[in-house]
Amino acid sequence: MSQDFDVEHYARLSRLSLKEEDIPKLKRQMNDILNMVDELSELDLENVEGTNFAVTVENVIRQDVVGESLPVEKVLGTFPEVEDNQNRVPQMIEEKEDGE
Amino acid sequence: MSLIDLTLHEAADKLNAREVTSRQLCEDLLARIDAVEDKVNAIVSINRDKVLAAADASDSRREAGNAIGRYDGLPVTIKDNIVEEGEEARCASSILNGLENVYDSTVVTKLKEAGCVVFGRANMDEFAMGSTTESSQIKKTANPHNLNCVPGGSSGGSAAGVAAKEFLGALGSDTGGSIRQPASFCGIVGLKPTYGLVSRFGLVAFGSSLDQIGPMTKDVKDSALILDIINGEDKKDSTSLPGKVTDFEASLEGASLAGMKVGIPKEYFDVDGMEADVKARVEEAIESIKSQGAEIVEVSLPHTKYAIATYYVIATAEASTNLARFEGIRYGNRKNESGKILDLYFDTRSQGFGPEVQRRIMLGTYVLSTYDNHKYYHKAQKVRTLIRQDFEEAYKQCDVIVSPVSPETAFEFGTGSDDPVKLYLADILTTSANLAGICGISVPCGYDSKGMPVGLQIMGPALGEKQVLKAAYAYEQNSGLELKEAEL
Repeated sequence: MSQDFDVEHYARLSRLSLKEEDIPKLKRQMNDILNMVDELSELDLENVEGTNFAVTVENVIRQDVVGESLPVEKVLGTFPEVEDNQNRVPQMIEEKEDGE
Repeated sequence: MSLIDLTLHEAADKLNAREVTSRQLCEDLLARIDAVEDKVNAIVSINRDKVLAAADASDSRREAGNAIGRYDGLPVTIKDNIVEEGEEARCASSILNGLENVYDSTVVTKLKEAGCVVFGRANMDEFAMGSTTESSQIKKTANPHNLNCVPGGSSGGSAAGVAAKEFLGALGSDTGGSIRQPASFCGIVGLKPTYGLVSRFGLVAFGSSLDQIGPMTKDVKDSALILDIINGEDKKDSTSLPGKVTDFEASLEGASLAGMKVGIPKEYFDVDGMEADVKARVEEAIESIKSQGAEIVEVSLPHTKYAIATYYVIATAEASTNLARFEGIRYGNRKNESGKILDLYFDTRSQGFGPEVQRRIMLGTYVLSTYDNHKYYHKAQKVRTLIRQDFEEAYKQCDVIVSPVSPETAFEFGTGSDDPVKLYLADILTTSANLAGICGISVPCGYDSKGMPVGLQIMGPALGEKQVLKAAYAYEQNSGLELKEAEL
């Protein structure tokens, strides 16, 4: 079965930007991979249950116990940019130009 | 005899007999690293002061009669996707540059509690995605048996470092064969435990339902020794199995293949790309196993041919989800020239992830997307059930299953770089164990005509590690095979 993987669309969904010159090769590689994956279509799976985890574990719950947290200074060191004990990030919601 | 020639169990015996110190072990290994690391490139980082301080602390404990136990002072190397407090865990990627971790993974905690010295970090394929270690953004690890060849992957640094005697033993991680295949390529032993036997807390996630940490060592006994240390239930990993298994190493005493039922899956010998030498060496190993008193049983794993497609759908779906957290907001190497949030995501991820990781994220995003979700993802989960059932049926007839680890031996750098599917297909003999959640080991079983190592895979049912280790140990001890050391 021939495939036509929309590289640009799935790159965008994946938050990846592609270089124009890489797109044809990437498209070919992704189509090859999909052709391989498409083997699954030949099986009759009507009455088969899916497996999420191979080893069945009962729902694991524990008591909610108050414990010691990591020191703030230590955790701050993991942030890319710190301001006033907080992780500084770019503005997430942009203001509308008319000030609404 | 230099101390770098020791196995972990020999080193433990010598430490306990006060014949050597942990500092002597570590210093000899560091000298070995100075001598060969520029050829092998197995190591991402090693903090020598920290290593020697931990060794000295261990020696002081033993000196004072307070040794923690048999393993106190043993140096063990970890793969670069295993978190240690105060160290980067870059996963051989640049996206995590500069992130100094603030906690220990459970396996590192267990190593430290046993008195072991964490002996540096080993190279790997970026985010464990690959089977050659060539996708590492940090360095190119070579196979110690031929420096023009890949060490396998993704735990290629762990395997090459053990084979080159830079490490006494190491931890790797195995999502679709990433412990067993590099062990096979480098002529060492590598064990992928049953899913859940070893905690994944602090292992940077790739495919959460498939990943397992396991030992990579010079011999079978060493793998048992490491598994004794690292296995056990963990409150921080809800998928860890209850309790702790003990005495993997002790159970090898007097191990024999006599009376063991060994299953041979015919599908594993007919796969595309099976090299004649690999098949021949594995068939010779089966002859040896038979001559040691095992009963050989033919078994069938009929859905083997679908393992790769199933694996690449499930593993990439899980990977695209797991790797969504690397967006430059919470940690790591943020790229933010324009100051706009969307640009930050795109720039951080595009510049941080290498090509193989980007391909797998896109594939995972695709198989989980609305339109085609049912087409592939749910199908793959169903085929996963069939693959699991294949093993359940097979283990009604046998105790362990024996096969090659990989259809091929180590090849030259660059062989598959432009054709990902070709590389993926070579995982055919290892991915099923991850999909089924069972355990498997790779043990050296000879060499191809070019002198490159061939690995024998012994797979057991869930929690069948003792059976697998016994079979592997008996084979290793009684096959009469002479192992070649890598000449460096």
